[in-house]
Amino acid sequence: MKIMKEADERFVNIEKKIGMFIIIALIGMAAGIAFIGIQQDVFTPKTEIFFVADSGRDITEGQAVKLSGFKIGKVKKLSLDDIARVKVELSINKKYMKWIKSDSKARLTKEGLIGESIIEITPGSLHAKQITENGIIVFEREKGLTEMAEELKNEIKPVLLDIKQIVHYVNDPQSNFKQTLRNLEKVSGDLSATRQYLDSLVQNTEKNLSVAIQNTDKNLTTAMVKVNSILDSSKQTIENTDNVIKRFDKDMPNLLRMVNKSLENVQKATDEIKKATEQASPQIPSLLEKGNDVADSAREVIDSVKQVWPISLYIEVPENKILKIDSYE
Amino acid sequence: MSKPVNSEQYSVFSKKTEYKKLFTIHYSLFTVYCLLFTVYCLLNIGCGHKPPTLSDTHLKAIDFNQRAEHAFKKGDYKKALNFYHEALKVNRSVENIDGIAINLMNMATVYRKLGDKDNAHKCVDEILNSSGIIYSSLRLTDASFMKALLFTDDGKYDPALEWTDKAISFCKSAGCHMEGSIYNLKAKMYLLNKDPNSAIIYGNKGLELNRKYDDVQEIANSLRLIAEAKTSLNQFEEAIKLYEDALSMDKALGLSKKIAIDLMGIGNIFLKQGKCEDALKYYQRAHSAGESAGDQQVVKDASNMMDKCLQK
Repeated sequence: MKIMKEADERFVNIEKKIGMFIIIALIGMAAGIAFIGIQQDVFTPKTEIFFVADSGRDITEGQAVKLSGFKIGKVKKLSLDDIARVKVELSINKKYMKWIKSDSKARLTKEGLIGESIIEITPGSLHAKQITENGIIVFEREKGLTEMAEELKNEIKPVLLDIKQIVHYVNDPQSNFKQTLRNLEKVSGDLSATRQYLDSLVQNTEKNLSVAIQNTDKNLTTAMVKVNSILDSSKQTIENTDNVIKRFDKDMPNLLRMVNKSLENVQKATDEIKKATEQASPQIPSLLEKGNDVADSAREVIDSVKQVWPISLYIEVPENKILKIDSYE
Repeated sequence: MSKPVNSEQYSVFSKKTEYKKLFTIHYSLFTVYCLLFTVYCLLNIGCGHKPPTLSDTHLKAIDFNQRAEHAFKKGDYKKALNFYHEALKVNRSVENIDGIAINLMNMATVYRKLGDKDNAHKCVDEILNSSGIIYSSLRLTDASFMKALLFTDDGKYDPALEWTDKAISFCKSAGCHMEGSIYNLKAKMYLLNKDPNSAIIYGNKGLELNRKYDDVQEIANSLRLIAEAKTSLNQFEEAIKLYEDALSMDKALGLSKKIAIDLMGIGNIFLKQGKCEDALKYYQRAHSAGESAGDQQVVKDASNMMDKCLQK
């Protein structure tokens, strides 16, 4: 070995070279560790706060905790308490603690419809106290699609039942509504007949009077008899009309009451529908938006996959096609 | 006895061994780099190949075209016409010359199906008499062929023959595979013009070209045309054989209307020979095929021929 050292210049000061190499490597490793630590917020001072949930579903250790879209910490630990509820310990960067107030809420939500689950903390009101270390905040779980659909179903179901009852009530031949309509129809029919009868009577009267005047002396007595008879008939008719009007007057308040009642029922049903729609409506646009996002993403993914070799080899490029012209047809 | 090695000799030997080792390592590394480079190039050739991407406008035009084709196949010709019209408009907006020609041709085909010959002629004339746009020889072949078909439908055989000749000329310059179809049309024209001998000549020419390009539908058409011509020349055995060949091809292609025509053709031969019982069987088969296909004309023809047979 001594012979080699003396002969080869590369081995001169080899100890110093190796030493330098190891020192540089160690410095590099330390810098790398420090860099990763800074990136992972290892050296950032933290504060622990808690919330208690009924279930640990979708909550995992290391899960991001966000406030107004910023990552402010992570889920540190999950544990069960004495009554089997889940105690969740959050590790929050100290500099963000000023925004977490006693009325802040932790909410389990998703980033997008199919994104990762995160814990989102609401900032809380301006005048509320800032939460201290090991403080507890309220937790609520964002409703899923199934829960929202179930809720919507529960709200709409009674309304639909009411509507069904109303329709059934309206269609029932024995209901007040139908009876009212029948009475109205009957009254209007009677009135029409009476009017026709009166018209014809007046016409006959005019006709007979003119004849009577022309044949004054000769037919005076006869005419008078006829006039008397006509007047009797008229009196009878007027009495009939009077009876009809009286009957109408008597029935009308009942009819109006029944109509009012029906209208009240309809109004009530409309109000309930409106209320249910108002409750459901804020969630509908976001659901639609999310649905559109998912469809767009899926289309983008499919388009991208289509362009990947060798899949692209099997996908026919679309083109304008000409119809085959048959020489025999 | 070997000589003892001194320090200088040992140093030289040691260096040589070291160089050999270094050379072997470098050579191996070089080989590995070469292999990696080759793999990289191959991946670039494969993965780097991107299918041609079409603009949204082109895709829209193609979408209309495909919807129209779908409607046409379902027999909804008016809907097909509307979609082809939309496809034409979109293609015109980006001056996609081939797209314009294809959709004009398709519109002509639909107009012909609807019996609107004037509009069919107008569509085709736009391709043939274009002053600004130069359409490809292939599209000019299609247009000339359609022109010939339209004149044949009207029984105007002279202009139809002129257009078939033009179509053949365009087809030759485009190197297209339609020549067999054009000759078939020529054969059909001669047959309709009571010239079965010329029909057989052009039918055979068409048959040869269609076999060359493996166009089964047109091969069956050639066989049927020759069979019809041979029937009118009373060459019944050959005609039956040709009809049977055409029938098996049409069956394979699932063309109900053509199947019915082939069966009617064989029935007609038997009737000509006075074999009414045999003829009746074929007419019944034709009737059944026509009825299932919803072709009223075939059903009517078959019924008439069956009545004729039963009267004899």
